Amino acid sequence: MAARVANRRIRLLAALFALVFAIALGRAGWLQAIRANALTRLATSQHRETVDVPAHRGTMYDRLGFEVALGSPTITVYANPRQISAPRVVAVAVGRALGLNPDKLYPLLADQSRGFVYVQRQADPEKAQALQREGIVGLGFYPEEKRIYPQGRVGASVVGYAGVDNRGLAGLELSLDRVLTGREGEKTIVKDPFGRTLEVVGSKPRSDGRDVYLTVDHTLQGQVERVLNATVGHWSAKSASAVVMDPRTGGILALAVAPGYDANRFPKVSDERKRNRAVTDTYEPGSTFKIVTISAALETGQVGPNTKFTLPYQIQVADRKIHDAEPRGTETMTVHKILSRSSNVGVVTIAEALGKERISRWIQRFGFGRRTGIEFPGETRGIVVPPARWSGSTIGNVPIGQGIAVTPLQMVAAYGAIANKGVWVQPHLVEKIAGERPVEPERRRIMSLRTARQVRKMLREVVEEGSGTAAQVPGYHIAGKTGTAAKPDEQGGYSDYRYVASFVGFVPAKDPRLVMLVTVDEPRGAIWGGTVAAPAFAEIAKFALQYLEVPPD
Amino acid sequence: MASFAPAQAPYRAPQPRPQPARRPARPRTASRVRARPLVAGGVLWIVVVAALLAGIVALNVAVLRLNVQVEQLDAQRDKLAAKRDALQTEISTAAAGGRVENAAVERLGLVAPESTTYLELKRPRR
Repeated sequence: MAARVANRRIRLLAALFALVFAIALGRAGWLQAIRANALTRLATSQHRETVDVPAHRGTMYDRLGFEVALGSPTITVYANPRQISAPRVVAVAVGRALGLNPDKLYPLLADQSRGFVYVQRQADPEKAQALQREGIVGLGFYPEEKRIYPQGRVGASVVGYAGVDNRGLAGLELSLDRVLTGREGEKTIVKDPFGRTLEVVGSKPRSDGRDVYLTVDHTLQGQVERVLNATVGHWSAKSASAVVMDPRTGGILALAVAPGYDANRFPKVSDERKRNRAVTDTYEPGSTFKIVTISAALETGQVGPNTKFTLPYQIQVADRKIHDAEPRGTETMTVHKILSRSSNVGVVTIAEALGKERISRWIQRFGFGRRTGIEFPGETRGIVVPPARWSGSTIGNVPIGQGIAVTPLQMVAAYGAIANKGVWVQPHLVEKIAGERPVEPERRRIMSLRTARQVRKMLREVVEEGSGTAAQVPGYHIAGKTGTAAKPDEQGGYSDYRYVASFVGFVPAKDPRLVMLVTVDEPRGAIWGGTVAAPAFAEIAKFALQYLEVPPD
Repeated sequence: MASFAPAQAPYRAPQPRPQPARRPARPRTASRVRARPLVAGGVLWIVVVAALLAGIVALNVAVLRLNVQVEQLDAQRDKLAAKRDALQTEISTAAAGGRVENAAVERLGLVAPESTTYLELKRPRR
């Protein structure tokens, strides 16, 4: 009897086990066969996460290896307002930690219609980490790189700036954006229930941006900017710009404008101030342009340095009267004298002998009317009227630098060709990218060595006994040319009171190491290049020669 | 106080217990002789499989630990890199020409040189 009861219980138990097993098996089958995909996705989303690995933006260095633009680590703080139950409390806590106004944060954090809001982009990492340690639900943090310009105002007009998304917006930051920006990586991680990373199951490595070495010297750039600011202040000018270039290599050592700005505060600066006018703006060069006609005449054998011309004070060219800057009687002048005294009548007389076709070809040969190809965004080609569209009086304008618009950079490159024994070298700002030299700058001979020497000698006279004596630097011979050009007015003529004063030259005259241009826009009190721009040139040259340890000649 | 003693049973002389008749020893059959190594082999297999399973588990745990360690080291590396970058920024900002010049002027009272004087030295005639 007892054995039968026991057997029944065993069978019951077995049946129960079988039932439970069947239920478990059925459930397992249901989960693994029917709901498998949905559950896999759910599980994956809960313990797997794909995170972006931001790439480091390349650093920009100056000629000597000083950083002029680099990335600094920051933490961006964001919030999911839907997860925040007490926005007022969170706003106060966040405001206290990050130094923000809680009253401004509150509406953001209380806006339940949004699932993502930025609390602070690129916050101070220490403050953000302190906030992160508080473990406030609904707040999120991710690392981000912020662009820093350690030199502040120095070189800002060249380097430009990158925006909050770390993409270049102006200057070299913009033109070299593809080089500086790396490629973002990503990794898929498996997390434990506490959110700790257990394993990386897939990754795409990040590729950092490449470092760029510039030809610019931040010390020299700073000094040039200081001199320009002083010049603008002294002459109550609208603005000023300067370019310093090594004529042998075409490397730009300084490319400055005044007034400038601090790249770290670029959003608060007007667009007008952020432009690098030495590259993007044109001006009528005035007398500095006379070297084109003189070089053309010398190279073609039309004249020699000592060819004499009898020149009245004023001549008629079509419907225009061309005269020299200062009244004088009819004089006999050599080509030397024409240039050193900057005689408009003399240059136009030579230009008429050459003809408009040849003058046009020489304008092109010097690189005017086309971009130099410098690695800077927004370079303009200038305004050069083709010979077919010249009027009768154009031959009386263009050779003396009127009716033509050039950039300061084009002008420096042109004088650089004379300094560099007749070889035009493409100006450039980038020395190396990731340790390698980019494409070699273009070089082309535009005049013979003989002509270059003759023009150089004439330009020395300009500084030694002509209109550019204020550009002299003790111990060095300087070759250069002054320029004073009236600005075009709205009526199609020229202004009586708005001028651009300039001086362009090279030093030491015998073996030039530097070619420099200073332009001052709308000076007041004086308008002459020899008075306004030449002293600034001398001051820059004095510093640069000592700084670069160029021995006196 | 009353005391009780258990009732005494009448004494009986001890009788020798009848010994069960010994079963005659079973003769060892060939199948039983073969079964023993099989059992031993089975046990061995179980031990081996258990060891393997334990090894796999241990290996997985070790891999997991290493992964966690790698991740921690990665995070540490990123933190150090960030710290290095922050320090680099600090150095660059501190070494900026303008800042150094301002500090020289404001804190040390230094002034920029006015001009450079060059002396041309000629070798005396003998």
